[in-house]
Amino acid sequence: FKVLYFASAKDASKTDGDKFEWSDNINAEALTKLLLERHPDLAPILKVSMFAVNMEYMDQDLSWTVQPGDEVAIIPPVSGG
Amino acid sequence: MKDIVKITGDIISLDEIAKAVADPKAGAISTFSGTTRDNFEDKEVKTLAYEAYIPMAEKSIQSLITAARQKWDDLIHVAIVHKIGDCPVGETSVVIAVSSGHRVQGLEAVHWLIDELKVQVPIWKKEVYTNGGPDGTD
Repeated sequence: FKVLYFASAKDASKTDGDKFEWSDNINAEALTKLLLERHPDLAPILKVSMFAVNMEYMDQDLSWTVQPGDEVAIIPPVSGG
Repeated sequence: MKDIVKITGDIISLDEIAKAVADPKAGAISTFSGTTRDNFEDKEVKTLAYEAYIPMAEKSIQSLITAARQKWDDLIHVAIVHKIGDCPVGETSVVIAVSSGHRVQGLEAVHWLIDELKVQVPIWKKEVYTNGGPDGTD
């Protein structure tokens, strides 16, 4: 599955996105751990960011886990307009 | 009833967008333009650099328009155009244009749309200061 980084998340990870190996049971907490293992500098940003999965905001759904082929995006606080 | 959603690197023309929502049944065209201001937190701003998660931003803007149409039934055409890339001082970063039979709903819808866009749509701005540094200091 892939993860896209935007704004401050892109600055911290120094990349547009990453590919990760899918496995069962990657929930939001496990995903956060995976991201921090690859990019420790993401820590302060993840604290204030939302995840979007396949272009929908992921709303603290405790039962959610990543599906193979998902497009996850790190959405730091938005500032458009 | 047209919904126009556009995210573009080109300069945005308020006039063209207002024309795009014009309609013989409209008694009003209400618009909002967001422009780059020359200051932020007491620092002098040179330009704003916008980035977007484009496909999700387009989807998000479209769903705002759909929601607005449910709240206000007098809306005819709605256009929301957002620039990405550099937006120097004085330039327009976003235009919202709504045509409606009567003015009340158009004005309310424009107000609501820009307020919602600013909290929901995955677009980000970064201030570029005249002093160069990321926080306005050298």
